[in-house]
Order: sequence, then structure tokens, then C-alpha cells
Amino acid sequence: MSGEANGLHIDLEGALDADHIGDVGVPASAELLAFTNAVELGRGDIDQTRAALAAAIGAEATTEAAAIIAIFNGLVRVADGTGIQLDDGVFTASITERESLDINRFAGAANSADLQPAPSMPTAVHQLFG
Amino acid sequence: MEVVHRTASDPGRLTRSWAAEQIAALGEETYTELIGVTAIVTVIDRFQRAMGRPELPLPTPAAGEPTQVRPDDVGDIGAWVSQTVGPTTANVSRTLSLVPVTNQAWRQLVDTHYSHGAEFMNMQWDFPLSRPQAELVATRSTALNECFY
Repeated sequence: MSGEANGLHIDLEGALDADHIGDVGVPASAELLAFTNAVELGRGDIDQTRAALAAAIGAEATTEAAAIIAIFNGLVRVADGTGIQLDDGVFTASITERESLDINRFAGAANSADLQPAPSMPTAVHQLFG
Repeated sequence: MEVVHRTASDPGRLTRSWAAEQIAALGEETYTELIGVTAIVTVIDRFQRAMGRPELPLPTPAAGEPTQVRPDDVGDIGAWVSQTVGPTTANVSRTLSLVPVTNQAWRQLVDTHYSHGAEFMNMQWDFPLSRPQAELVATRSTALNECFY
């Protein structure tokens, strides 16, 4: 969504593919993905990937990237630990993407198995943290 | 220990039946608070790791009794634990609403690390990391953690 708002065409499949480190349509994609993989998976050296990212986008933006990796490690734990369902609007709006990107294979999909497509809010990521 | 260990190490494979066992043994308030505290500590640890810094020591427990506050406006919304019902924010924003003190700390952490208050509604951020860059990192991180939500 923010990609469209910023005039970018995002390769979602590449963004989700753990083996892909390269351009997905966002500036400094390769450095961002390499750093994320290093922190999350230990693939690559964290210090080296952080230095490469800082060279590409600056120290402050690199610190923000670290903060986002960190918070999403918390968000997945509160989401999966409390067993929340997808919001109705998101469930409906993401049917095609969840199938094409194979997201339905995740264990947490079972929590939303009884949902039915229905038009209601929120439908977008920016509406999730109000 | 089981809740903390499984939540910290492999959150993508938690199941409703497993959670039901833990909730039956602990109570849903304690279970929810454990999830929240584990998440908060994980965030702090992961940030330290990402920045090449050593893990921070756990703080000394403070004296006093837990508030034991259970909000009146919580109920079954389809999750494994009770959460705020009625017109409210999205499900991810009420995950810990059963335990208000932990929820407040958690929401503050999310705001500081990611959502930036009202700025979250803006698709074009005026921060060093652009909105698409932030969402790319979030997307890869959640995918690697196999988070369906």
C-alpha cells in the first residue's frame, strides 16, 4: 500500500522469499533484506550487513530498521500467542495475496479458518494500530 | 516456563489446543501477561542483537502487588483469550487488552519502534527510513517468523 502511495512497484514475492536478497522495488532493498535475514536467521554477519545498510541509507535509518525488526518480533508473538483472527476487512482484501504467496500454510491460519469474506474495516495496514 | 519458552522460540507453531492447556493451568490473565512480557523482552533483546550490543540485564523486580485489574469490556472475539469487545481498534491492537498495565507498556513500545502515533496514517513518512522501507523490513521479518496475521 505505501509502495503505491510512494510511486513504487513492490515485488511482494521477493520480499517474502527468505532466499531472495536483492531489489524488490524499494530503495536499498538488498541491504535491508540482508540485514533482516542476518538478525532473524543468522544468515550473514549482523555487523557487516548493518554496516552495509548504514552506508546505503545512513545510521539513523539503520537504527530504525533495527527497531522495526525488533518490534515485529514482538508483534508476531502477541498475535500468535493470543490467537487473534484476521480482521474481517483484511481477511477479505487479502484472499488472493494469501493464496498466491502461500501464506495460508502458516499455522496461525487456523485461527481465521471460520471467517467468511465480508466488507468491513480495517482493510489496510495503516488502520491496524489506531 | 512452557509459555515463555514456546512463545520466545517458535511462535509460528503455537496452536489453540496448546494455548488452551496453558490457560487452563494458569488462567487467561496470567497467560496473556506472560505473552506480553515475553514479547516485550524479545523486542529489547532483538534490538540489542541487531545493533551489535550485549543483551541488557533483566531489571530487579519491584516491590508491591500486581494490580489484578480485569477490564469490564473484554470478552470472546474469536481469539484464544478475552479481549476488548465492541467498536474498537484492529485485532492486533487489542491482543493484550485483558491486562491493562502490560498492554499500556506494549502499546508504548509499538508506538516508539514503529507506528509513531498519528503519523502512522501517513503513507509518506518524514523519517530517515521511508514508509516502504519500513514495511519491507516488517514483511520479511514477519514472513521469517511465519506469522499469518
